[in-house]
Parts: sequence; C-alpha cells; structure tokens
Amino acid sequence: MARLLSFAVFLVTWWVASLFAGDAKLPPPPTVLTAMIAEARSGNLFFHLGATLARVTLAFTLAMALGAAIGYLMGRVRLADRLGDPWLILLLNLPALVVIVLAYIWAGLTEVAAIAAIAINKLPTAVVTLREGARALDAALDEMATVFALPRWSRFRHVILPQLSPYIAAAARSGLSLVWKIVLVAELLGRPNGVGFEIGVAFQLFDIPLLLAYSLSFAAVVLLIETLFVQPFEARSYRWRPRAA
Amino acid sequence: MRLEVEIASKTFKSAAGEQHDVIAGVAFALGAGEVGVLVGPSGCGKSTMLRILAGLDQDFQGRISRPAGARIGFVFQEPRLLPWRSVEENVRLAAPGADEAKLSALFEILELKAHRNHFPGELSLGLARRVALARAFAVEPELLILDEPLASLDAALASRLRDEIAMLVNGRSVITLLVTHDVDDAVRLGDRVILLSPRPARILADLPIRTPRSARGDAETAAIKSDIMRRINGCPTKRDAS
Repeated sequence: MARLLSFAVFLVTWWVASLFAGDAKLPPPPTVLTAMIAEARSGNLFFHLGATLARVTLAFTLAMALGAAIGYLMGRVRLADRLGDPWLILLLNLPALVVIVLAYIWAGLTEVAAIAAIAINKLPTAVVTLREGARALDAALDEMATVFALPRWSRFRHVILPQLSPYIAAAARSGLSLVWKIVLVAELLGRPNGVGFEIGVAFQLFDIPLLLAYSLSFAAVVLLIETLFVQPFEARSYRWRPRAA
Repeated sequence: MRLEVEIASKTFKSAAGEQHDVIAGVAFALGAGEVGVLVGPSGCGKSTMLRILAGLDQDFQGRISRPAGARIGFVFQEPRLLPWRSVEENVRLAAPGADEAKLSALFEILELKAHRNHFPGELSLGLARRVALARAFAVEPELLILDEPLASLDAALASRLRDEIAMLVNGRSVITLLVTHDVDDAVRLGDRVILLSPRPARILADLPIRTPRSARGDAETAAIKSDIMRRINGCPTKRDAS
C-alpha cells in the first residue's frame, strides 16, 4: 500500500512539473506511455531491454564470482592481500569511462570488450566487501569444524558461506546498482543495441518521450529484479536471526 | 586405546612481543573408559592444553599420542554452535553417520526433544550447552574433551547436567578429559583428578579415585574433596561467580 502511494505521488509530481516546464522539456505521463506502448508494439523495447539485461547478467555474474574468490583469498592469505592491495586501490579509483574507452580501443567495439569493461568496474567493490567478510570469519567456529573433522564441502556450505552471505548480499546490492549505471555508458559508446544505445539515439534526436520511455522501462526492470531476487535472498539468509529489524 | 600426553613447555607471544609461559611440564596418560579431570585455577592454561590435545595447536614442545584417526568429541567453553542451523542440523553436521534412533535417545537424555527445530539464538545457555554435549556424543567419540561444561550455570542446573554427563559417559569406552575449576564437579565425575598449579601449569598431584562413580557416598566425596583442597591450598578454587 505504502509503495503504491509513493508511486502515485511520483506520478502526480511529474504531471504537475510537466505543466510548468512545458511539453517540449518534460512531456506528461500519457505522452511517455504512448511512446512506451509504440516501442513495445514494435518489439524494439523488449529487444533493447533484453540486450541490456543479458549484458548485466553476464558482467555481474563474472564480477561477483571472480570478486568473491579474490576477496576471500585476500581476506584469508596475508601474502595475497599484500600483493593484491595496490591493484585493488588502482582499480577502485579508475574512472569507469577510462576502462570502457580503453577496452573498446584494445579489443574493438565488441561484446567481449563491453562485458569485460563492465565487469572490471564492478570487480574491485566485490573484492573489498568479500575481503572484509573473510577477515571477519569466526575462528572459534573454524576450530569446531576442524575438531569434528567436517568434510570440506560441508564446512564451506554450513560454516563459511552463511558467515559470508551478508557480505555477498551487500556486494550484490551495491554491485548491481553500479552495473546498471555503467552498462548504459558502455552501450552508448560502442554497442548497436541496448537501452544505452536507444538513449543515445533519443538524445541525438532530442526525442524526450522516447528517452523517458526507455529510462522508465529500465527502472521498472531494476525494481522488479530487486523485489523478486535480491530481497528474497536477503530475507532467506537472515531467517535464523532473532527478529529485530 | 590410550591417550598419552607429554607437554614439556608451551609459550606464546603477546601482542606486545613478550613471551609468556603457559605450560611448564605436564605429563599423564588416560585409558579407554577413564574420566580424567584437570583441575586448576582460572587462566592456568587448561584450555590451551585441551587445544593441544585436540590437535588445534601444534606449536608446543612435547609429544601427544592418541589413537590414530581417533574421532574427537569436543565441548567448548562457549557452545560454538552454528547460529544459522537448527539444533538438529548442528548435531547432524558433526555426525553425518548417526542414525535416528541414536539421536532420539541422545535428545531424550539431554531433554532437547522439544528444541530440535529451534535455532541456537533461541536457546538459553544451559540448553545450548546441552546441544554442544549432544553433538560431542553423537559422533561416538574415542576421545571426549569437555572444557568447563558446567561453568556459569546455576547450581541446580549444573548438578542436573552433571548427572546427565555421568549417565552418558558410563558404559562407553571413551577416553574422557574434563576440565573444571570446581572441585565438587571433579570429585563427582572423575576417575582421576589431576591438580594443576597456577600459570605456568605443572602437575601438583595425580589422584586416582577407586570407588566407581555411582557408588560414591557423600562422606567419601567430602573426604576426597577436603584432601584436594588441602593440596591446592596455595591456589584457591571456587565455583565461577560469573
């Protein structure tokens, strides 16, 4: 209920703002909806959303998997931490644009370059978060697992993974938002499809209804994924906690 | 099956880089079915000794010989349960081979039947200790190590749990090592009481108790107790106040 109300407030604000700003700068909701329906009818909307979603999925999975593995290693092994730390700081502070442009120059305007560039942007934040998680692993439970000779897999699944899951959830949450933002830049600069590409086209034509139609459809997809996947995962991994928040 | 312990010395470095001697020379042996009780003042290195015996700490001078590949059941001072797994899962994870009948019997004795599906966060300390005990017995250990399993429980609960431990230890051919700073627990549960000095730990006395646990009367317990108290007069022991 509260969510619906908040959405309604958003629509009303938008509508009122469009009256003041004028159609040319901020078209009212019905105009944008018409543009959205036209794009959906032609299939363009789904094609471009699908292309973006596929890139997000690939880059996100790649960055999370690699980042988790590297972060865990750096949290557990001192030498790995020493060796990896300067690289981590470099990557953390490298602007996304630099990575994307360099990837396109070195690997050509290809899908591989785009996905690699997006993944590289997300990788260091995942490493930092998971490193913190690995450092915080409880030594007492580790000893327990050693004494009772828990097999490797069981130890990973029941002792280590539950301790890391809040950190994985945090890395996924912040990482997903980062990937959503960067994927559009990568598409704008060097891909012939995707939401970022369409927004680039709309920008060149100054077609504001089209621009808003794509941006809002994209936002809707993000919201949907958040409520369908990210939040249930978090709820599941915290179900053992005595109910506080 | 025998446990032989010879720890010549164990030192550790503090964060400031100073060397501390924790154990200065401890040697004893225990056979199957025997309950050895280590009694010593708080901080005298008992827990360190247990960690060495369980193979968790290998940085010491000396030698430990325990049956090769022996299954170990360890009850830590804090219960050390997995908070994200239920009581039953906690026990089953440590003892994947345990069958349902054995687990039910164990849960029955330790009065955990109603708590199988609870998470450790929902249990009191007394109950969590019992889960830790159930876990240690479920693995059918050859070596059972109990680190102050009765500390910081109220007197009535401690005495009930003590009886439950005695019931579980009786009739099993397991080498049991119990650590406590409570002389009363030591005399009621042990077949041998090993008295330790304050840090660095040395053995003050190694006293066998010949009467079987169940046949020990109050008079005999009191006599052994006063004997022990006399021997450790330089290092007073009392029940943990916390």
